[in-house]
Amino acid sequence: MKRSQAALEFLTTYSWAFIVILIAIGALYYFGIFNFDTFLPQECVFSEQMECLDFAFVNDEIRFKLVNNLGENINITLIMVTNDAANSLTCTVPDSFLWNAEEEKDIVLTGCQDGAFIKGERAEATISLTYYSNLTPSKPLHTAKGRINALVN
Amino acid sequence: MRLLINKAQSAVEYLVIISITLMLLLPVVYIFFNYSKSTQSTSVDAQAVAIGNTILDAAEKVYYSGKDSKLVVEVTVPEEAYAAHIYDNRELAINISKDTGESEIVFFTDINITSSTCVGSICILDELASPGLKKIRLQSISNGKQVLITSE
Repeated sequence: MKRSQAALEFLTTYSWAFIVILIAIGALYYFGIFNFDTFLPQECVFSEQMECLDFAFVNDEIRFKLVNNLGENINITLIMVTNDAANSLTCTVPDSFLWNAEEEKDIVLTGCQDGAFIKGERAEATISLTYYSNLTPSKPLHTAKGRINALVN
Repeated sequence: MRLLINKAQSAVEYLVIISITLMLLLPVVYIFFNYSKSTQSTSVDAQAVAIGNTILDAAEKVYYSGKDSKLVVEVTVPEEAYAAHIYDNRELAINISKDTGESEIVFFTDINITSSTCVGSICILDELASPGLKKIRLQSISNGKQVLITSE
């Protein structure tokens, strides 16, 4: 009788402790404490040849400002956007444009959907810019890639 | 019976401590991994930019020094660099592979540059297509009108 009482008391004490811990963990999870992405800085990473000066994910838009540090006037022929989500991110991209050396350019991708691009959540976008220089006779196409990781406002 | 309870209590406490330690460690590892991914990408870009600037600065020195001048520079090619080309004797492009995919770091110059392997308007720079420390020779050719980029 004494042994079974002791064992029961032991289990009861720890059961309560475990239940309290589980409730506490559940509450922390509910308030997003375990969403470690929020502790990471928002970032826009392009090469220093096309330095990213500013960026934001607003509603269904991706906005970013780049500066042309190539030292050459270039023509942007294609902008592509994607990410690692199962249904990857798609956006409407601007038409081709001329980009002068040292010029800062605001680029806005509109109508972004899929790719876990959800308001209030953290999202990532891999952006690819295809360009050529007018001064190069054969106009070879080059690709520059960058990544933006930010909260969708 | 008291001894048995004490042993069980120690075991449970041990498990709780290990669990809490792991719970603290996991987010730290996750955050560190993400920081490192971002830093690596920036570092590869910076390395490729440094290589291109070193080579083109040296090529311009050789070009403006005139006929028969020569210069050797050392560059460290990162593992992520897998190809390099010269287009139309005025563009030097280094292809790199990053976590975001394949990308190019391109340099433009007003001087005439070439390599030893050219097909049409495209010249291949094999020296920059594999990782490691490389000695690059820049030599004035064609009566000082062109700079040849080869390995030393």
